[in-house]
Amino acid sequence: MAFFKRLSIRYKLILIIVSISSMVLLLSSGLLIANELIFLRKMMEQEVEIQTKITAVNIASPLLFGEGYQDEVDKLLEACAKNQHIMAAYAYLKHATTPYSAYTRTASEIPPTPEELNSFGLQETSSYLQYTQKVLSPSGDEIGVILLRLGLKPLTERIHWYLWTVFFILSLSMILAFILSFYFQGIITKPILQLAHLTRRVSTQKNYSLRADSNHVDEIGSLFDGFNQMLEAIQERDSELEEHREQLENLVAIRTIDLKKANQKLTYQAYHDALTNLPNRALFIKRAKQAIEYAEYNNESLAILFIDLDNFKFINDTLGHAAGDHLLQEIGKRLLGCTRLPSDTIARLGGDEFTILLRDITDPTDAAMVADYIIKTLMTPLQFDQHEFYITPSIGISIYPQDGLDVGTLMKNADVGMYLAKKQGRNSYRFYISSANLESAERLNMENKLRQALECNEFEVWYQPRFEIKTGRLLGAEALVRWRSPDFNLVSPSQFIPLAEDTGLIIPLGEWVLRTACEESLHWQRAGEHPLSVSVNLSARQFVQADLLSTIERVLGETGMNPHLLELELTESLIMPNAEDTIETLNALKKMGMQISVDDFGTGYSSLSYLKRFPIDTLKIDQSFVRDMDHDADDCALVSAIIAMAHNLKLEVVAEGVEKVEQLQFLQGYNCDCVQGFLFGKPMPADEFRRLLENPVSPLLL
Amino acid sequence: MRFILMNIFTKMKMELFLLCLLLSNNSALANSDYATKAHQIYQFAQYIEWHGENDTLTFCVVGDNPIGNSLSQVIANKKINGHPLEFKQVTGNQLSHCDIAFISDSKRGELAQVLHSTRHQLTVSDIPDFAEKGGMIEFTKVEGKLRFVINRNAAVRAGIKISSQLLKLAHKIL
Repeated sequence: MAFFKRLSIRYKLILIIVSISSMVLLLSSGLLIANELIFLRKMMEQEVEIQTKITAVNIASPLLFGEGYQDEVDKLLEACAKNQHIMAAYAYLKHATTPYSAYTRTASEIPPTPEELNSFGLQETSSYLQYTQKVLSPSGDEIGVILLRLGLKPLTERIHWYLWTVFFILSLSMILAFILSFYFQGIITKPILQLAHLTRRVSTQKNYSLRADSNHVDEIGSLFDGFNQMLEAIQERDSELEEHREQLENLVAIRTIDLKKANQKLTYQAYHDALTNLPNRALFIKRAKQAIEYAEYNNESLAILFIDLDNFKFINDTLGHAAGDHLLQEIGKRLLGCTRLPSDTIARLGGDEFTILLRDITDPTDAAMVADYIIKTLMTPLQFDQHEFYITPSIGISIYPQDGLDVGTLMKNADVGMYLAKKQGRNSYRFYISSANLESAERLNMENKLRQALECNEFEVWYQPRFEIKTGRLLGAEALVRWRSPDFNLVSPSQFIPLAEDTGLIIPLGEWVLRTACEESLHWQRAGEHPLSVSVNLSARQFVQADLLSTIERVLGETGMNPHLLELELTESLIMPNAEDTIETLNALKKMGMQISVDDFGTGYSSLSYLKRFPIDTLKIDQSFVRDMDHDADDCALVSAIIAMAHNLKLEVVAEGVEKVEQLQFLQGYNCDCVQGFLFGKPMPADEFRRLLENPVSPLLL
Repeated sequence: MRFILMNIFTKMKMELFLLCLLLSNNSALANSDYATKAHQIYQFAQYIEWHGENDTLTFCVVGDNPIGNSLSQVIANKKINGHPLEFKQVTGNQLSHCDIAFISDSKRGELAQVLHSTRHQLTVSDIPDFAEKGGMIEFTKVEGKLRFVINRNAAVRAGIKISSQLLKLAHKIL
C-alpha cells in the first residue's frame, strides 16, 4: 500500500485501469469458461447416453440371434469407437460377469465391476464418464447390458486450451490496457501536472500574475478556474502588500534622510560653537589629540595658543550680550584669517576664550609670529552699532613636546602662559615657562577662578555686628567678603585675598565690596533711631591706588551713602611702611567725613608716635589677644594697656573675636568700648543681618 | 470346428474319410440345426410388425416336422409384444390360420403351390433358393455358419413389415 501511495498519479491511474480491466476480463472469461465447461460436460454426458442407447438398440438383435452374430456385436462396439472419446465399450449377456464383447482403446482400461454394471445410467469418475444401459429385446425382455466409457480428456484439453487462451488474452489486454491508459491517462494527469507545475512556478518565482490555461469544462476546468481565482486574489493581495511596502520604504527612506540630517546637525552642534560656528572644546581636543599622535609619529612639533580677550567683560556689561556676541563672531572671523587652514584649528572654548592649534611648526618662533599677527589683526577697531571697540588679546603659547605630551597639559600650560601675558600687561603673548611649579600653577588656577568669580558675581558681602559694651546697643557691622565658588563652596578670605592683592584683582573686588556695603547699609537706617555704621576693609593695594579717593567719592556719590557712617579699616602693616604718604591719604579721607580704624592692632610693628599723628578714630584689638585673655595673664595685661593707651589718645577701642563670657567680663573691667565676635554674632549674610536689626540690643550686655 | 476339421481333412486329401464322417454325424447335426432354426424363427417373429392387439400368433410347420418339437418348445409360454403364441402342424396346403409358416424341406417339390397359397404369412424355409423362388426368409449356410436371406419384395407384397434391425442381420436381401 505504501508503494502505491508513493506512485505518481499517472502510474496510479495506469495501475488502477490495468488491474480493473484485467479483473473484469478474468472474471468474465472465468464465467464464460465455467459455462462452456459445464455445457461441454453436459454435451459429453448426453453424447455418452445417446451413444449408449443407440448402441443398445442396435446391439439387441445380434445379441438375440446368439453366437452366430458375435461379429455383428463386435462391429457395433467398434463402430462406437469411431467416436474418438469413447475409451471403452462392453457388452454383457444377461447375468453374465464376463463381457460378451468388449472394445478397449487402450490396454490399460479396467473392465467395469459388477456394481457398476448393476447401477444403470450415468456414472462419473475423475477421468471418465460411463453409461450403463440394459439391452432389451423388441418384446421388452432384458437380454444384456451395455456400458460405454467416455474419457474426460477432451474436457481437460478444453480446460487447458481455455486457460492458455485466457492467459494470452489477459496478457494482451493488459498490455493493451497499459498502452491505452498510458496514452489516455494524460487526459486526467496532464492538467493536474500542468497545475502542479504552475503552482511550483508561482511559489518559486513569486509571480502571481501567472494563470492556468484550460479549455476543460469538467471538474478539472472548475479546478483551474478556482486556482486562477485564488491566484487573482493572491495577486491582488500581493500588489496591495507591495504598495504598502513601497509606501513604508519611502517613508523609511524619508525618515532615514531626516534622521541623517538631524544626526549630522547634532554632530555638528556637538562639535561646534553655535555663535561663531568655530569648533568647540570637544572638537578641539579631538583634533589636538590626532595632531599630537601624528606629530609623535613624524617627530614634529605643534603649538597650542590660548587667547583671552582682555576687556571683553566690560563690553558685555555695558553694551549687552548682543554686542558681545557680534564682536565674538567678528573676532572669530579675524582669527580664521590668521592661520593656515585647514591644517590648523581655531576653536572657541566659551566666553571670550579661543584656542588655536598650529600643526607642524619648525620652531616656537612660528607660533610667536602667529600670536603677533593675531595681536596686530585685532588692533583694527571692531565696529558695532556705529561704535568702535578696541579689543586686545592675551595669548599663552605651549609647544609640543617640550611643554607637555598630552592635550590636557598643553592646554593648561597655554592657559598659564596666557595668565603670564595678562600679568605682564595684556595685549601680549607669553610662552609657557616650564619652571612654573605646581604651586604657582594652582595659584594661577585660583587666580583664574577668582577672575571669573568677579565676572559671575560669585562674591557675597557678609556682616558681623559690633555692639557698645556700656549700653549693649548695636552700633553697626563690619563688611566681610565671602566667595561662594561653584568649585570650592565657601572659600575663606585668607585663601583668596592675598591672591587678589597679588594679581590686582583686589582693586575691582574692593570697589565692589565698598559699593555693596554702602548700598546695604542704607537699608539699615531707621528714622529716629541711632544710625548704624558699616566698616569696610581697604587693602594695601587699594590704598596705594592713585584713584582711591576718586573711586570712594564716586561710590559714595552713586550710592548716596553718608560718609560719616562709613568706616574704612586699614591694617597696621598697610599704613606704617609709607607713613608720610599714608598720612596724606588718611587726611583726605578724614576730610571727606569717613571714620578710620586700624585693624588687627598689636600684630604688626606700630609706631606709637604715628598713632598719635594719624587721623585715626578707632583701634581694633586683634582677636589673637582677646582669645587667650581668660588664661594668659600677659595677654590680659597687653589688652588693658592697649585700651588705656587708646583712651589716652582719645581713640575708641573695639575688641575682636570675643567668643566667651569670661572674655567679655575682662573687657568690661578694662572699660573697652565695643565688642565684636562669635559671642555676639558670627558674620552673616545681608538678609540675616537685617533680621537682627529687629532687636538691636545684645542681652549679654544688659 | 467342423470347418477347421474339414480344411485339415481336405489338405490331407482324405476326401473319402470326410464324406464318411459327414454322413455319420448327419442326424446329430440336423438336430442341433433345428433347435437353432426354431430359436431364430421365434426371433424373426419379434422383428415383424404384427397387426391387431393381443391376437394369438400361430407358428405353423408345413410338411415334415423335424423342427416341430423344437419350435413348440421355444415358443411355449412366451409372448411377443403382448401376442400369445401357439404352434400348429399343417399337413395340407392350408396356411390361412398361420402367421408364421416354416416350410419344411419335404415340400421342396411343391414349393410353388405352397407359396401360392400363402397370403399374409411370414414364410421361412431352409429349402435352397427359397428366397429366390418367392419365400421371405431362407436359412442358408455361409462358411459353415447359419445365415438367412430375406426377400424383401416378397414380404412387402405380403404386407409384412420387417424391422430394419433384422434386415441388418440378413446375409443377403433380395
